[in-house]
Amino acid sequence: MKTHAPPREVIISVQHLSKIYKVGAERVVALHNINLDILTGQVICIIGTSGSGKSTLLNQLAGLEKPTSGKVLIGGRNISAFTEDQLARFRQRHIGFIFQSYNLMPAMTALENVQMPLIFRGVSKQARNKAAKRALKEVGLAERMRHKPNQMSGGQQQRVGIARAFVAMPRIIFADEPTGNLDTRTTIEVMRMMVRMSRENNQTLVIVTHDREIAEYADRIVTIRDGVLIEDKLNKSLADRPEDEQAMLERETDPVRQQEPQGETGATPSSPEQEKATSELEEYSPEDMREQRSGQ
Amino acid sequence: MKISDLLGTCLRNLSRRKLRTILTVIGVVVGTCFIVLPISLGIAISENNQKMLEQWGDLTLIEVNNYGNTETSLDDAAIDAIRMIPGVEVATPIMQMQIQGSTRIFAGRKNRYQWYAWNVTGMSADALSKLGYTAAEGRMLTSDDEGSKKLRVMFGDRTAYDFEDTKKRWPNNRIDYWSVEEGGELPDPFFNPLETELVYQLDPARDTAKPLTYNLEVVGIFKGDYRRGYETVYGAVMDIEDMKRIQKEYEKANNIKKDKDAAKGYENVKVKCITMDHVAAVEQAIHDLGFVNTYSMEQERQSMQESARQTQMILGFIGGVVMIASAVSIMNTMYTAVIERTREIGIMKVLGCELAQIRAIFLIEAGLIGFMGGVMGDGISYIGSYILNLIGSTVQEEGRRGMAEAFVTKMSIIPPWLAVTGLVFATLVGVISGVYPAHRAVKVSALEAIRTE
Repeated sequence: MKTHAPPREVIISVQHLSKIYKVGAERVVALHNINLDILTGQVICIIGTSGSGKSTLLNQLAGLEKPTSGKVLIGGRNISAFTEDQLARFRQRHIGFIFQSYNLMPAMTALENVQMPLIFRGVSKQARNKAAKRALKEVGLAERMRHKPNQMSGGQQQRVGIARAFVAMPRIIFADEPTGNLDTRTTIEVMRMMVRMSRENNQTLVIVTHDREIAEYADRIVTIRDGVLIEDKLNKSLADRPEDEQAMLERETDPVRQQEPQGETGATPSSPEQEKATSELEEYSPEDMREQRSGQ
Repeated sequence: MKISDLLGTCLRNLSRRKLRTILTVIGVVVGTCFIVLPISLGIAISENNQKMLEQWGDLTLIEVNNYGNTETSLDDAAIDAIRMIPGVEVATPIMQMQIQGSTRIFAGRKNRYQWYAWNVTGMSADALSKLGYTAAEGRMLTSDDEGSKKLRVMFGDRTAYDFEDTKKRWPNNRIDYWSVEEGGELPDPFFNPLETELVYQLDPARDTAKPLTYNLEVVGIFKGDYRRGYETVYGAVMDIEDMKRIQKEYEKANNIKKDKDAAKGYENVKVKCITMDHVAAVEQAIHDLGFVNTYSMEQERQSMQESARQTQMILGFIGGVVMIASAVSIMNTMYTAVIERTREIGIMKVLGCELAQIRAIFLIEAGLIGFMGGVMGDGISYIGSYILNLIGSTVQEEGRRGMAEAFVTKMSIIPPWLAVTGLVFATLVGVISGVYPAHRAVKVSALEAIRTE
């Protein structure tokens, strides 16, 4: 049995995660004993067919649902034990979300939609306006800031969604079938944009999809079937990943995994680019996860 | 979330469903009007009652009588005790001369003009101003006037006209001032009392004794006011100490012995309270001192207030029912909003909106509906009140042409506190109606956002 020291850059650690739904008298096992470590800056794709449990896994990772057993550690903190308000504040600061159906507020303009996560954080109007404008420029929608969702194409709406997910400079971005409603050309455009943006700021991007082609954009592809993690591999086209990541992958795929101490695992500090970008938002300092941890 | 962002979000949400918001607000408007207007009617009724009572007398005054009291006497010690009661502004004994013969005041050469001084009152001179007595001419009597060489008094404003010319026969022996029309110029009396030497004469009890006489000086003429007392019109007022002295001298001169069974102390004491609201408590305290025979306007006022309150209650009850209906309507509107916005709430949760913020959004939206309804309800109540008063005043003018202005009353009065109360109440009804919908909103799962249509 192999044991490894935990790699320093593990940001999400899934440990013995199971989720069982009760449908009437029947028990449906959606996830069974999932173990998974995701590294900072990784673009990871969770792939599976409909009903495989991939969406359930995403919900668990983002803390939208509580696991039946096991836990999810983000930056070393067990989010499965968080209260709803703790989760909300955690998501405010560290998590961005991209949805399949965009989920923009129909009554708001693109600019206002992008500002939403900052509004919840209590960022001043001036600061969040500036941040939202920059985010929209980055996704190429500088000309469409005053448009409402119904005045935009699906691809444009999803770009607004991406800008919204990235605007608060979160450490992790979850994308749930982000291209599910888009045509092939737009899919390529959107995927490239998401990957580029997360790379620029060393952010972790977790994509859930059923589409094999999408998986090609990721550094790492995790396959789920019937609630069980059946495959975890690095993308061949990205063979130049660091050694320890390779090592970790081996560990991940090891079916009998040892319980390992995770407590000391810390997140890497923000990249210089991120520091620079967030420092422009005077109202909220880029809170390191370690600060969060010590604060709790 | 900042307060401004919360408010902005709520206003945006409300304006998104304009018609529904407007319809719900109308319910609150009606509810607010049905509460504010009846109360305004009640306020007008009680204010009119008060005006009416003021016509009858001073509402802050309590009269204490010296009969029916057991084991207590209304003497100086008792008056001092009354003065100590909190809420008492001034208390003065009221004394009438106890004379067996007649008392007269003379003026003019050889006492040509005479007045049967049946209404000479002794009071604490210093209390006069506090009791609301004012001088129309000359000055007010003060305690410094007591014991001066000439007896100093004040006259009522018609007292001088009550003098008879002893050289003329009835009915020509007096100045005719009573047939002067309202507002017309009064003729001069026989003499100006402020500049005339007067003599106060107390006739003896028996013919054997000599009458007592005092030189009299009038320092001022009261502004006549029946509500204050008859003495301000047809009478004379002197300091109580002067009167007591004269009374003693009279008794001595006529060899009168005090009746031992007679009630001790003063016949009557006037107590003035600082405000009308003190009257009930002060009156009770006087009773507790042993003086059960008191009179004030308080009882009349209370019973009038009570009937006004009952009218108000009935109308207010209708208002309450309407308000409950509008509360239900707010709750319905907000609950529908929660159902409609389930997905939106889910998205907000995923994006990091805290539970308190979601709760606040729905409570504020409900509160805003109440607030807007309250503002408009107040506005419409003011208009309604104005119209009521317009109708009321025309009716009154028809019915009471030529009446004094004091009788022109209002049908509806909305003081600022009532408008504020109406507004706060409507807002509160809104917020309370929003509690359950907000609770439901908080319970919405973040997973709602993930669900694909």
